[in-house]
Amino acid sequence: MIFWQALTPVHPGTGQDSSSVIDLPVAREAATGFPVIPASSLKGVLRDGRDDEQSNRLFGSLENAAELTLTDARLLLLPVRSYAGTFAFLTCPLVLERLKRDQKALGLPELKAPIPNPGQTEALVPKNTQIVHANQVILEDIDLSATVGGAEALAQELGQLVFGAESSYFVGRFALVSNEVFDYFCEMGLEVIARVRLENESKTVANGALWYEEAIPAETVFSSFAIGNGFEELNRPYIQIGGQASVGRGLLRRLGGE
Amino acid sequence: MRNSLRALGAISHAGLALYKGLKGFEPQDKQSLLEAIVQTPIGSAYPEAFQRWKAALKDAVFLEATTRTPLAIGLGNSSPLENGLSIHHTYGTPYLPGSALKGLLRRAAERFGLSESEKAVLLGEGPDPKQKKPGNAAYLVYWDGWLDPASAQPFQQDVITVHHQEYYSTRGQVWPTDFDDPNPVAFLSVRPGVKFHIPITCPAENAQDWPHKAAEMLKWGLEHLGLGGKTNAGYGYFAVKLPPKPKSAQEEGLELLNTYQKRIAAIKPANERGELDFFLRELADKPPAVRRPVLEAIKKHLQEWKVWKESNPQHARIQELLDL
Repeated sequence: MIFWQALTPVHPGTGQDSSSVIDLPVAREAATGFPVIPASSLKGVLRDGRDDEQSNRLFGSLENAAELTLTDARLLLLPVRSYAGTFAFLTCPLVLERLKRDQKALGLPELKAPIPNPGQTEALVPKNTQIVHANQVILEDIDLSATVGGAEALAQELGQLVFGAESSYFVGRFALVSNEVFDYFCEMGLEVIARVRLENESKTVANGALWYEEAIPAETVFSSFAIGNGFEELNRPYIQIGGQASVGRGLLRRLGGE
Repeated sequence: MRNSLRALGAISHAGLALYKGLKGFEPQDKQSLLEAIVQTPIGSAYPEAFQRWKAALKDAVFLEATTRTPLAIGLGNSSPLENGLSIHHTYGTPYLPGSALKGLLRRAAERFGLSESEKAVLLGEGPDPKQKKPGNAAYLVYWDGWLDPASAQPFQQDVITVHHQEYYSTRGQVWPTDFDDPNPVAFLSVRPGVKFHIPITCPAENAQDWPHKAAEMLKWGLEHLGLGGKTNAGYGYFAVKLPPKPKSAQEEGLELLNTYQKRIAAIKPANERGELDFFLRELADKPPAVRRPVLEAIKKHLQEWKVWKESNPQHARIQELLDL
């Protein structure tokens, strides 16, 4: 299991024009609507255009399928702007149940802490938190009542699992929210970047050259699974993935993994 | 702003404050919002995040750009104040978008008179339907410029005053007069003296001259063309510090030759064996391009002196190193 943390915004594009105000949306899971980095992107970046015998064996070729199996990098923690503590790391029961199910299927140790079910207007946070102001967790457009200490065990365990030694950076910003609230921020809380193209002479925006790009914000944490043994390719500490690479999108840091 | 937030003083995230924090639409509401943002220090998460980011890009060429004048970039981003600013989505810090830096470089490239193929490497090129040529992406990566974590309060309140509103809004149909009401618009800008770190990387090996070349041109652009909006009113000019350019292997080789020049000339039959031993030991671990000039000088010296023989093991070793 590998965790990836975005250090810059990530744009795994859909390659399609959308009919909404966002011109370039990011890829999302069909069933949940959560943003996702498709496994094919990960695999392509790790292969890095190599065509030798070893890569053909690992990543597959026209003749044979790959020995290495990678899964989509799924959303685990979404950073959402917060009135206190700058931003919060959100997750929800659906995401964690899914992680647990995958851990079980792969024979990895499962999350031990119970996964409580927060109410629609509730955010469960650990005792030592930075994001609570006057008993509330105030995010973007939504105020949630904070239950301090409600996610203590979960925060500690996830912190150790994902962030290891940097656990305290995470625990102070962690909040477990209901599936519906999480869903809302996946839909509305991503970063939207306005881009323009200027006319060289006049330095004004060229006609029709304003577009909006959606990106998964920096700090987002994804989880993915790699099945197969001893693949050095997976040990790279950093990768760059997704669209708009030449303006610095998609720098991922590898966290944990066994 | 929602009722629950009215009592809230310092909002820890400048971006959130700017986009969601307006209490009402009276001028004094805008004023107090901007005051609150200017006084809010950057979040505690940022220094740590900055270190992580910098470590991830340790191979990059870093420019250090310090604002000499106010900076107003991202004015067009929608915001309740009508004038936005590029503020990092997650950390609430001002930043320099990589796309703006790349665009500035494209303008600077015009002045430097680069060839089409050089521009294709630095900036990429679009597809050409006539010649059926596919486009290609730039070979370099222009990362967002991040705020130096030591700049605790990077924002300042700013104002732009429209004196002849009707004249502008009717595109000159109504004449501007001295009796027009000036309309001051408050907005947020980055104050002078704020430092940003701008990394440029090139994923290809042995092509590190390119990011340095790009950095030089970008320095010129940031100092002379300005970045962001209102550059004609003096906004967006920087003082830029370039990283030291690493010496090329050839330069290093020539320097090495310089230090040994006399010693090579002094090789005589009496000390030949010992001296050649010394040089072979010194040079064996140096990269081929660095040691080449010295080896060639020794070979030339021995040839002029008519003792160069392939059968001599030391001479054979020199030839072997040259052939590598």
